[in-house]
Amino acid sequence: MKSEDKRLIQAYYYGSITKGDAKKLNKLLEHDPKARSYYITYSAITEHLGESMEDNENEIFSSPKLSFSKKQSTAPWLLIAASLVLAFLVFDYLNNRDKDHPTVTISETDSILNNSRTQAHLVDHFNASIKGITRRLEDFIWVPGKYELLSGELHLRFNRCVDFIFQGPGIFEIEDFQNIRGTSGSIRTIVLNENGKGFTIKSPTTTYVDWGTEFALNISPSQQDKFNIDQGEVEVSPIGKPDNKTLLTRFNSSHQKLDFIELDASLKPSQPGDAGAKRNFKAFEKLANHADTIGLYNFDSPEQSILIEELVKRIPKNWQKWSTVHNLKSNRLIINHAKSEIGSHGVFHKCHRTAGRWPESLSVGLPHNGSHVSFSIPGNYPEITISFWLQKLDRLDAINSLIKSDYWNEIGNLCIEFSRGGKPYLHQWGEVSPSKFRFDNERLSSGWQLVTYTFGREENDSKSKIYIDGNLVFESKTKWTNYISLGDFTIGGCVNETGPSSANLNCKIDEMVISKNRWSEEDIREYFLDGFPFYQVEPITFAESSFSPTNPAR
Amino acid sequence: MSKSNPATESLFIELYAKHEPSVRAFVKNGIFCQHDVADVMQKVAMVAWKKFANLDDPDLEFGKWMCVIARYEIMKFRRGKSRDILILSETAVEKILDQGCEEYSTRIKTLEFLQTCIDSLKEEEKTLIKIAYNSNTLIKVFAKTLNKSAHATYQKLQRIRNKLADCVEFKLSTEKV
Repeated sequence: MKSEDKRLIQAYYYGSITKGDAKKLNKLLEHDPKARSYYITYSAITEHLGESMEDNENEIFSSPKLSFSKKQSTAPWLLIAASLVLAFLVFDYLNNRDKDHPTVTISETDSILNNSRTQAHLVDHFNASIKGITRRLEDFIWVPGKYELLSGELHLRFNRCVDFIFQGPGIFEIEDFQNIRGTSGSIRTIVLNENGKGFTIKSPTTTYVDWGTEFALNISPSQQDKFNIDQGEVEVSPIGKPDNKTLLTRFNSSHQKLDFIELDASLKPSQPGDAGAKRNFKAFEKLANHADTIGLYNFDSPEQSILIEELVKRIPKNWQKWSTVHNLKSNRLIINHAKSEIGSHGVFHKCHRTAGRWPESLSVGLPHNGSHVSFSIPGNYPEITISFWLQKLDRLDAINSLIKSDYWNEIGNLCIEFSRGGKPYLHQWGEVSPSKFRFDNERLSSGWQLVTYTFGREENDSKSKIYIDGNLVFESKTKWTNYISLGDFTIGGCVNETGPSSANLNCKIDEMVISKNRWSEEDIREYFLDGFPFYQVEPITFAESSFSPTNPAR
Repeated sequence: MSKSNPATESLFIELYAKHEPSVRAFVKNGIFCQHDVADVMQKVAMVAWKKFANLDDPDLEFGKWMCVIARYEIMKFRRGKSRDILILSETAVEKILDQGCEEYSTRIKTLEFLQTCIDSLKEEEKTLIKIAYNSNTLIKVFAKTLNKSAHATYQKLQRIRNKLADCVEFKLSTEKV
């Protein structure tokens, strides 16, 4: 079997396969039995490697040579485990025989098998600390049991149909994928589809049955439950009085007076995306205070209290004269949040602020011909990183400029563009035919993506690299350029000396970071994962492969 | 199963415990995500239990029979998924699963061979995969203790995994002959 064919299979399991390679892999697996055999072996290895090492956990450091006899000893353990389960079954069977249950039914076996099954998937979390759990939550199997969340918040998805967001400190117990008991803490529940109807939360005093809805609940051991319904219907009844049901909707809840719960319309626990937003905010704060960060922009509106006169002192020079003539409005300014204050504030032209990556956050949209944002960063930088979160709005035009130095006349000037198909291209002034290498066919797609450019010396060469979602997609060596000099520059459009051209990148941009050091691949990947809106089990194969226990990329 | 008794359950659990790792590896052939593998395994177990009584010679047929159930459940699972997120085509997966089923009796030794291959690794390689697959230590933290970059450590880990795959594949091919 060719090594190239093996590489395709390895890349698939490593989560780094590109679309182009995926086609080749499919063709290979469809036609080559040897490739299929290697694939099956590789699959088994990724599945079993952890277990094999677990078996040898105690021996690996103490014994210089592992013996196979250790592995064989797992069989008796399996038999012992099986015997214990059997003993339980027999005991249960004998016990229940006298209670109108003449045979052990399928449901009893179901429950035994179910206990080994994950009841929920982790969607996201923020600083979640659970008593007694030391392993990473991403690797944790959410089996039935009691969980004490000491701090932070968890976003779980039950049976692919109910989102359950729990804010600590508090205690909840998973009975099964449809029944939760809560002792304390704040909860938001969202039924995502028909399968989730009937999802039940029991507090010490009340049962809440969710009939396709979104509701918020605050359980406190010393007070009545506080409850608010956002959508649909929820059936509430006091514990022990199932006949005393009340069906609440958003419209009738304000008229209801229930003696066992307090209806509180102001109750707003965390919602989907909040965990990611908090994590991202923390990363943003860290970057703002970092000495190497020279520009940091999240495109939120400037605070009204800031005087425009103060702001215009730090906007690009070519805009300062216009600020007085055209009475520049503060809402056209993009604030630099970097504490170093090296980068200017930005000024946007033919753009608008629009929904950002997080609940209630903003980004900047560049939908029109000539839409762009102007910035200025003085100085030459032997190392630099420029990172953007981008969301493509529609089809792209022939030329799509992400970033370009306004003047194109000296070493260090830089331009990054995307082709109509979303592939990145790099231009550097003075580099006539830079040696380029495109790693794969990764390109802009429709969701939010992290595009990162780095420049710096590696070994004996100065290298420019472009990453999409933490994957290296483009690399070039420069012959003359030893530093990057952005000067006045534009993002989202292409401004020439004669004025703005019609080239613009039809997208939204959020969280632009400019740092005067070169981020490593590991740094970029970490930043990507910190800034990813959701921890999604699917369909993000990159994140999935990164977190998967079969791929220990952490 | 309409009726069951402790002896049948005992046999089922014993056979299930014996074949579960191999069948799980088989399921992994068609499904990438770990959680999805767990879900499909669950369904396979349930169906197997329900139909266990129909099996003529459980001792002989159980593993391969589970693979047939798993094949059906995998394809059912994949059809419920958006095509965009599936990297492998249906034809490719079907052929892989068919081959996996056919070779089940040989492939049941994969875990055994994997152990032998791990034994033949250098001590530092064993330590690395132990850290990667079975500890709470972050790779990047571990890399620092070795004075190596995290990237280099990941690469090394990848090479070890490839080495193990080659080793197991070689042993399996010898076994087939």
